[in-house]
Amino acid sequence: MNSRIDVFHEQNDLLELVRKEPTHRNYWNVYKRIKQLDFSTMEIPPSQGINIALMSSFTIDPLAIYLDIYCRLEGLFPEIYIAPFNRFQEEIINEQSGLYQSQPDIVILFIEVESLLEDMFRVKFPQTNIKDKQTELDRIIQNLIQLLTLLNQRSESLILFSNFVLPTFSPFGILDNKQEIGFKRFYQLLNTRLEKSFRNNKQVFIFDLNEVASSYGKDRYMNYSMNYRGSLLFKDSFLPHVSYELMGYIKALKSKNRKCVVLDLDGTLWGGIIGEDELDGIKLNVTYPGNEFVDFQRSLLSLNNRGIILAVNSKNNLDDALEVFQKHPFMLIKEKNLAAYRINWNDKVQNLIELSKEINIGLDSFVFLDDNPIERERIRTSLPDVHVVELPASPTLFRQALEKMNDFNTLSLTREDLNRGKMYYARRKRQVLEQQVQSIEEFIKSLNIVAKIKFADDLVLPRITSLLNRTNQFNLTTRRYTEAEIHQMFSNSERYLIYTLEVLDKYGHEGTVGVAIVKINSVETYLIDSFLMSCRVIGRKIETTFLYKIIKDVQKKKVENLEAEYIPTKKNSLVKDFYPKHGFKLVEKRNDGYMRWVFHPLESKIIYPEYIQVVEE
Amino acid sequence: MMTKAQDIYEDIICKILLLERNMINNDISQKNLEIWDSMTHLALVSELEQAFDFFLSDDDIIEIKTIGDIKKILGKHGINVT
Repeated sequence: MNSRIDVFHEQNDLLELVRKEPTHRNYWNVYKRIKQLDFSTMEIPPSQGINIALMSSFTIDPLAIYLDIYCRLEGLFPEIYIAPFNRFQEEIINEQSGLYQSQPDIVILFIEVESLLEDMFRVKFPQTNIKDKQTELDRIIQNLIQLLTLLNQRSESLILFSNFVLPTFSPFGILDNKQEIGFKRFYQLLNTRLEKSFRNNKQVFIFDLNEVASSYGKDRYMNYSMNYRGSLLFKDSFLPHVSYELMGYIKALKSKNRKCVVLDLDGTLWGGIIGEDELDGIKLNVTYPGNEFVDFQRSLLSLNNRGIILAVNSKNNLDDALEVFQKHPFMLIKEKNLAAYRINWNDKVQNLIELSKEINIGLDSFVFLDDNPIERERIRTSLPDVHVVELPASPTLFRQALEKMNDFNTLSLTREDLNRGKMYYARRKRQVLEQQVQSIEEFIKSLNIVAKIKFADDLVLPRITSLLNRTNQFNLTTRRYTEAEIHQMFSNSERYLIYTLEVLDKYGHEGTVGVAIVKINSVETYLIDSFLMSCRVIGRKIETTFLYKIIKDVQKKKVENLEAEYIPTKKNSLVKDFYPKHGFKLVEKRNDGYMRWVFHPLESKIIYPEYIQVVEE
Repeated sequence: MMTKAQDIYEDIICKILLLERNMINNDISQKNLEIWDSMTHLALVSELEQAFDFFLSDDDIIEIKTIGDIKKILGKHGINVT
């Protein structure tokens, strides 16, 4: 009997209750019963584990119920540390506190501003002069900055500080915004200044609780009676909304975010059926009916412009459908916005698998939008990794459904994200060329590739972290590092060399697409700790150029051994033979497929493709 | 046949205190049921208040020590369960 599988099934059976009927007492029940399961026999891979620390000025325990279960529904296994009630300052200041011992990946703080103010603040506010209000603002902000900075220095975790919910009450009543700093404005200024203080901090995020409360309803998010009875500030029914928003960060942190939206056409991007209603008959217009589809496309394009890939999977005649993209005056999404499309009469499951191969991202990166419930069911049952959105029956609600999703988040926005929409189009053009040109070498030559290889600078560290954590296929060791760890390596240049690879070709700039980390073990021996490339540039011999540059550098330093490793994963069999192909010799092979190689730069040579121009900086 | 109130009452007791329906008895108390701590107590109160749409007084909340007490308090609010 396999106890690992058993406990997993038991958990899944329990989760079924909240999947079917998500009431508060079901969540309570499932949470408590999962707590009683014994996970000790289960080896949880780091990618699925997450340590969360909750700290607050009120009793936050019930939020843990939802956070815990939401994580589990996403396939994660959370450990949640709840700091003692209203002890967040001590927990941060004391290095031996439970907070630090819990080694959190993410720390979430919910602090009511009242806990930082004197008891009579609200009483005195109408009589307080502007100077004293400003002094009080400064004091609170300085206090919080100090506290968060200390936490930030002591921990590598992501820090979410929940902002302050703007009150609906003011002692000034309708005259509140006639004051220079009214009661509500006081809270608003705190929030604005907090955001500003941490805008450039990559670890500290201000969680917009004010927005979540507004969206849920400020008249009903607080539980007054339970707050007086037991400091339970939030209504039970508000907790799922807070947790849902928090999951946006957790999914980004654990690389559970989605990269590509796959769209159906008839009934999804426009109303009607192009094959029957023809170009002037489909519903796509600036006025109703049809404006709801145009508006939906606007939201899709705004996501596309921040780096979310769009693709099409539709049952249609290709020419009919393309005519809409090319000729319809109100069709906002154009062919150039699509990374790939499958417009045919084939099974949509098969199409999705092909799209995954063509775009070179896993099925777990896909979101599938289709107005047809049967197609949704087909995908959901056949390809469980794909996130199938339960689109509302009316297209007037499509935009809202899309905008409510928390699956597209990343923890930083890179230049590559902002250009990704265009890059995939350039790539598709390249593939067309690939089909016309005969030999692969000829084709690669015709691309006029330039590889820019340089040592990392601090501007590119977020991109490096993102590549290290998201690259699965062309990744020799799949070692995941946090941005803080990368920072440490970066500042320890006697021990680590961090290379980046940028690629340009005649269709455009691919941006930073490769990373190599070389660890200096001794004067004679260097080790390639990590070597990876985005799948966008695979198959153009750029990898050889990249490796060549590293070998050349170590040759210069008269290093005798350049060691390298291959650590097998489910996804990286592509690079199993990468090192032997380049003349590395096997020194160790383990049962689990791990292999260690060595290259002697002073004795051996590597042949590199001369048609790739190398720019070194 | 089971009344709706009876069903809701049993569902709350079972879900919050992690009991099976046939395990419910008047003598189960904060003292002899480990999971029934102060947080669980508030969860029970909150669920009962929401389900039956009343407010329990401070005295009621403190007086509840056993499942029997819960029945008594519910009866006081005109909700009869067995």
